[in-house]
Amino acid sequence: MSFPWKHYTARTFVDRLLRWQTVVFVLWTIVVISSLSIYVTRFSIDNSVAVWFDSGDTERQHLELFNDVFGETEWTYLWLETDSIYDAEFLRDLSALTNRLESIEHIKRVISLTNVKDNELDEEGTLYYSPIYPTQVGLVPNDEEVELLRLRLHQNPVFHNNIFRIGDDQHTIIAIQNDNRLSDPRPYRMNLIDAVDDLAEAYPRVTDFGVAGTTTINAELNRAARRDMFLFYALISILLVGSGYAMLPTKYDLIPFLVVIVGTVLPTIAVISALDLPFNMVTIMLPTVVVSMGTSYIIHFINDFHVNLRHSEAHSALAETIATLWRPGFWTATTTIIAFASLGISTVMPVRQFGLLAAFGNFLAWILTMFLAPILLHRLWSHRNPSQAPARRWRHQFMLRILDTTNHRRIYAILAIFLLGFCLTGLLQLEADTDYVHFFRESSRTPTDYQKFEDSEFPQSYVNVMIEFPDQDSYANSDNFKTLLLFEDRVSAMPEVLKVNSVTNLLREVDKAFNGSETSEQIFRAYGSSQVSQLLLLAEASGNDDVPDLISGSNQYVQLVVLTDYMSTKAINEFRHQLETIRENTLPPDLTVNITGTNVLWANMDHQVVYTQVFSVLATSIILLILLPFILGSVVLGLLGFAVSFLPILITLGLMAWFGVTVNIATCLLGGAVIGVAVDDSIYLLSRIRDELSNGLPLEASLKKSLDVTGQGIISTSLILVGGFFTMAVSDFLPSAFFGVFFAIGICSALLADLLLLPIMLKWLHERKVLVG
Amino acid sequence: MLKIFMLVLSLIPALAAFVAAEDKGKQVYMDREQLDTGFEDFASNMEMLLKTKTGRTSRREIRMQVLEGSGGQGDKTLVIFKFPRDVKGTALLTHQDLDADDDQWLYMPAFKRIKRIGSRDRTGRFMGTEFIYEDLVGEDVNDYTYQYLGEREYRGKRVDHIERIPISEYSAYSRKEAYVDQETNQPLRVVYFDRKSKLLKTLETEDWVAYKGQFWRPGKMMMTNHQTGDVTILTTPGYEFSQGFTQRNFSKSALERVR
Repeated sequence: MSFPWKHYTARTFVDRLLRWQTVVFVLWTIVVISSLSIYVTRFSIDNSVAVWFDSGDTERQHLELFNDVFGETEWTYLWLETDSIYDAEFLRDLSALTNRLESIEHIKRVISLTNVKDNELDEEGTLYYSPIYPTQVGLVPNDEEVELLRLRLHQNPVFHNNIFRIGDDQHTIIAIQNDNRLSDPRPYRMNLIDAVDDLAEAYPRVTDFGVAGTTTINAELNRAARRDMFLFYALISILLVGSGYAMLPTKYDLIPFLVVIVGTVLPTIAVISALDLPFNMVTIMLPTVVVSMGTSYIIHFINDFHVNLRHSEAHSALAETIATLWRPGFWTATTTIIAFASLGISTVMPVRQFGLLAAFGNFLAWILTMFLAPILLHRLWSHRNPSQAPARRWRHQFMLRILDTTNHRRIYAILAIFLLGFCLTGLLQLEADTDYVHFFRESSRTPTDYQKFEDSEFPQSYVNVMIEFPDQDSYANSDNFKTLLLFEDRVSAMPEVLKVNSVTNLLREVDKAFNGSETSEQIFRAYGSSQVSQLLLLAEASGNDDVPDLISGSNQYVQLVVLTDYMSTKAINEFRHQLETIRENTLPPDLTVNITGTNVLWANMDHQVVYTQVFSVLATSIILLILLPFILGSVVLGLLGFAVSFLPILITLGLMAWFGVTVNIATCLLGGAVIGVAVDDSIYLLSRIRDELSNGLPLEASLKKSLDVTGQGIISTSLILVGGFFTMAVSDFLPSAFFGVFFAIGICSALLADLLLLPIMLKWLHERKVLVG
Repeated sequence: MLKIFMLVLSLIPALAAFVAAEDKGKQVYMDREQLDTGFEDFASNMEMLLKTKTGRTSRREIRMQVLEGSGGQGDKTLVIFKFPRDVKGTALLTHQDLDADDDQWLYMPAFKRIKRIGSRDRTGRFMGTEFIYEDLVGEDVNDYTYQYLGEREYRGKRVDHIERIPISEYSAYSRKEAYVDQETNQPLRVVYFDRKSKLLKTLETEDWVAYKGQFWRPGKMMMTNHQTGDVTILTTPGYEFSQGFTQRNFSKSALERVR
């Protein structure tokens, strides 16, 4: 194997490198220090909507329009448990808690039993919109006042299932309207939830509490990401040093190993910070992934170098290593980069960032391995006795035994067919679904909190349905009012819906107060535009500050807040489809209906995630099918390499399906990435076998030698990769944990395929004269 | 003891300055009120243009009639809604009460009924605009505490920068900051802060005209909501003074006769 340029040999390459070694060191130092400072000074974590979708995304634009009309806010629900919500002292505490919650930054308004407003007529018939709780903050209500509160709560259906439930005296909800900033990297959601927790804990009559809403999920995602960052970094560092010490030929090799890894990972993550991008649940995995995969190049390089060092001095050993490895190294880097870059087509921004930066990290790892590692190895080994890096005999024996087992072809064939069938059956069951609540381990607060809501039958989630009327038209138009009522009725009747909050419901209460209880529902439903408009005016004039939350000033936009149980993204997408059907059957086509909200946007990600997975696997496969025959100089070897590299992803996805793990924001990264990594080992091994065959060795001897040298490197890199990805299993964020575990499974499958399946197939092809030479 | 005495002594100038600042701010508004005394009555047709952040616009038209209060009574205001057509003929009558909550009635022609409505909480928006009822009703100098923040140059004029803090716990605002033109004693700009002291809205006034040589009224008011990005522009072709309004024109029974 030689360099592609006629007069430029591996030896001259090493000479030049050594001549420029000071420059290379200085450059490395500058890059590492600047990357570290950029990373430390500009690091932020955010998982809000703007992080996931770019500004051109249609669903994001719907949410932005909604925010423009109704404000950048969302609802968070605080569930409280007590002995009795009608206990006077609890009400005093609730009143104080409500007041204190209102003072928390980023909270816009708070609605609880002790400040919720209703229309009220005094003795003179004056209409007020005022709190139904009759007692001042800090005072204990008397029995009469408590009874009055209970009566008025029961009288107004708007309150039912929103802040209390009839027949349940132990639980109440505090509805908190807080900022929902789409592009604010500050950790305000975490601080807000912490502040809410602190306050809820401060009142002993609150025996239990829980928080639901996308704000708390987002806060927990950020918290998990932050925790993962420290945990992953710590674990991966320990693992690198430990595994490097155990698997590298000598302890001195840890130096080039760590120098390359540090030089790879720091600039890669610094790019994110330099671009002012916050880290999120996907990109937080980047260092682990880049570190794990960066080890592949340097371990192969060091292993090969030591094999050559047994019979040559350092300079020659380096030249020989570079001559042998530059081509497979280049192609493994290329294929891995292609595999990760295929994620760059994703419209989910973190997935795109992850793919492109992982590709960049791989490129950097290969460059550093080829340009920096030789310098360091030369400095370490040019004055040392080569015997200090002895061949480890047990490894040699182990590889030979593995090769021996490949003679039991029939057993392996049966096993392979069974495994393939098992995985293919699993693949048919694979589906995309994301359950954000169960993204977290059962021991964490989010699933527990949501369970509290569910057990007490309170809504845990909502979607916003925004209806836009055409120009010169409005909600008050008689036809619009009537059709919207019909739409609301149908939506309310959906089994998933626990409550619908709408301006119509508020107007109904104004109407009752204004016209008296004698007004029948039917008369209200038949109101014309003047009656609707004037009722709205009456609501405004009497100080009704709930109306602007549900209808725009121009009356051209209204929203329904549709409260439901918690739904996974798949359930939301189905629910949304049903809403669309109701909309088609009830509303005229000139009304624009946007079903939006953070939940809906997250659900919409499922389509993108599946598309990413499929595209990534297909694109990587097609490119590999084209490249591998060219890289290996043989169509047969190329196809063999592809088969061996593709098998791990089938096994991984098949097992994932059998274990009930769905395709989601993290596991969608598996497809292309596993193929990309699996193909590395196949290229290294097949290149070596092909070289040995070209040198005139028979197949059996070529396999022995290749497994002895390259096989050991493959085992070492695979073990480090498996260890690296297994560190993710400790994540509280289950998609990260699943990504890590299934990636590790993919690596193990690739290792087994390379060590067992590849020799078996080569022998089989050789016997049938398909493999010639 | 001597130290405490010295400390108290040293605080006196600061306290005096604080009191003086409050007095000066209040004095500006008292002068303004004094200047406006004696207008008797006026009427004005007003158009309100609502511009949303999304670029959509809509229009409102009202006619406002005001009768000056006398004998310890506050002003009486009648707002007649003209456009959109759905609310045409709706009328809001307010009798300002200087010592208690105002009396307020809304006539709704679609129901042919008058409803008395509470005026304590005036935080509801006015016809979906960026103005709330609190912004539009007459106010008393004593409804606020004052802080004089100094002199400024604004739009080429010398203005007094005054902070006003509403006394009522029902106010939608924690405070307002006004730039009052020293020449006319009229506010050219008012900045509103919400109950959490966050910047909420800014009112810009233009085209001030002194009717009868004394009674200053703006031809244009622009209210910008900084939290939503929406804007309302209120314009009027002019104010008609001395309309000869009487108490009868502002009685509850008169509401049903308005067109």
